[in-house]
Amino acid sequence: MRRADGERRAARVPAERPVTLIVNGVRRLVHAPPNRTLLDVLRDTLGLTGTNRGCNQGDCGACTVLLDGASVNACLVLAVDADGSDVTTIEGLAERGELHPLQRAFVDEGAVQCGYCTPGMIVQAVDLLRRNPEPDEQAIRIGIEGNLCRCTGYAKIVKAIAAAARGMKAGTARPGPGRKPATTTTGRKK
Amino acid sequence: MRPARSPSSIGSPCGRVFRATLRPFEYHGARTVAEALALLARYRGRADLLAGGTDVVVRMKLDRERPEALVDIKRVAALGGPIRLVGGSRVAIPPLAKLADVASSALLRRKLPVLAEAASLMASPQVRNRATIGGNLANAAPSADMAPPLIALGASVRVHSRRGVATVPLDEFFLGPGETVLGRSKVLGAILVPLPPRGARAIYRTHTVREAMDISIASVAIYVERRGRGPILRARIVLGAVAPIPLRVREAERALEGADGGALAIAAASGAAADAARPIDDVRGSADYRREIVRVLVRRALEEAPA
Repeated sequence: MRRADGERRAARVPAERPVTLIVNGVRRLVHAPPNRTLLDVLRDTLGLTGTNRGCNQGDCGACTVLLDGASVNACLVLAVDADGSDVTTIEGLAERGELHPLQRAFVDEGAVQCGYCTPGMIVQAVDLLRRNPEPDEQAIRIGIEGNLCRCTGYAKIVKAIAAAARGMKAGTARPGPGRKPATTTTGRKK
Repeated sequence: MRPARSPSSIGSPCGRVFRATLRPFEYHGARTVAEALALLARYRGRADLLAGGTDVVVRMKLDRERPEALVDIKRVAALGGPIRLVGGSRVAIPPLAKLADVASSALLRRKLPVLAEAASLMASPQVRNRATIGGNLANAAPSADMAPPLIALGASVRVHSRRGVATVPLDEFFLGPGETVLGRSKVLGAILVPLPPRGARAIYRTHTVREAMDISIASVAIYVERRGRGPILRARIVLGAVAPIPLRVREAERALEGADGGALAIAAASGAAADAARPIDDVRGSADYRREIVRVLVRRALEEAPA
């Protein structure tokens, strides 16, 4: 319903195309013109507003989602280009009411200030831990180099990711979405 | 002039236009190189190729690019596939190889580690998961990080046109900022990198303010071939971000070839590189600063080079 910007090319607005996405395990059929991004579709068509729109040009990481298992900036992916892909957003990480171990760790460590970067940080951390289940601090910092926290709360974010990695390695939980139900990690810290 | 404001086009704080909604365009998914070439021909310079999209979509949002169509080549099988050894003497990197694949390739880490390192330094994990090595070359940013090490290694590229396939040395591929021999009618094919002989070293050094998500102020790739402590048999010095194109500095190479690689030769080569640099003043650094950085990066890389 957003008009293709009413400017000079309005006369030949490219037709919408059907786009099938598996979003958080659910098959969704949407219609999008080529100039809509995956981020637009997730937020505005599917109402999945957990994926945030920050810089909207691939610099800040607030819109990070998993596309066929790999983290991407949804603001740079055309919706038509994602046709047939599997998309995991922050909404898809918890299973059966249990937070994903990374979500749990962010809560336990207090790794949240304004919260705007948090969904992107957590989804990116899922990608990081899938590639490297035992990252040291340097690897964690490199892993989230494309996610900006303007509150500059990086110290606790790094701690939370390290804590989640330890918990997941200890077998209390599984990395990534779509696996067996996650159980909580360690007890609540203050 | 301030850009006109509308819900889909707003002026950003630095005065640039930013389009929250892209201008309309047609989208075509090509399945073969021939199909991609036919589509490019049909749009006669008004279509862009789309692979990872991490450059072209950003340029479209900044309104620097207004293509009538995007031709998506991501699913062209002939442009993808694994990074592989060809004939035991060179490595073929498909243009659709993602930067993350280049960074983590076991073959490259073993045979051409400088390429894996250069890729791992670029942008962010999210961008590396999506951006392709072919896109980094074809977009021809003067600061493109893959170009200097590839040129230093003596790489060449396949160029597909409607007349067939040609092989172009990478140091003849770039014509200017954003311009290559591809124009808007050809398609970049495989990137071919000869395996360096024993005793060869390739190093890439880049200078940035931040470690993450930053663009090089200046970068330097060097390649030095010698046997043991003998004289340098072959050298290549390539500069990034200090000229309209990645710049090969033959004067610096001549200062090294036949020399012993000692302090005098290094000083001559790094001085020649600084002299050859044609940097611009911009937000990332002044021209004089960049020239000085080139001198230092070349010197440090050459000091590291001998085993």
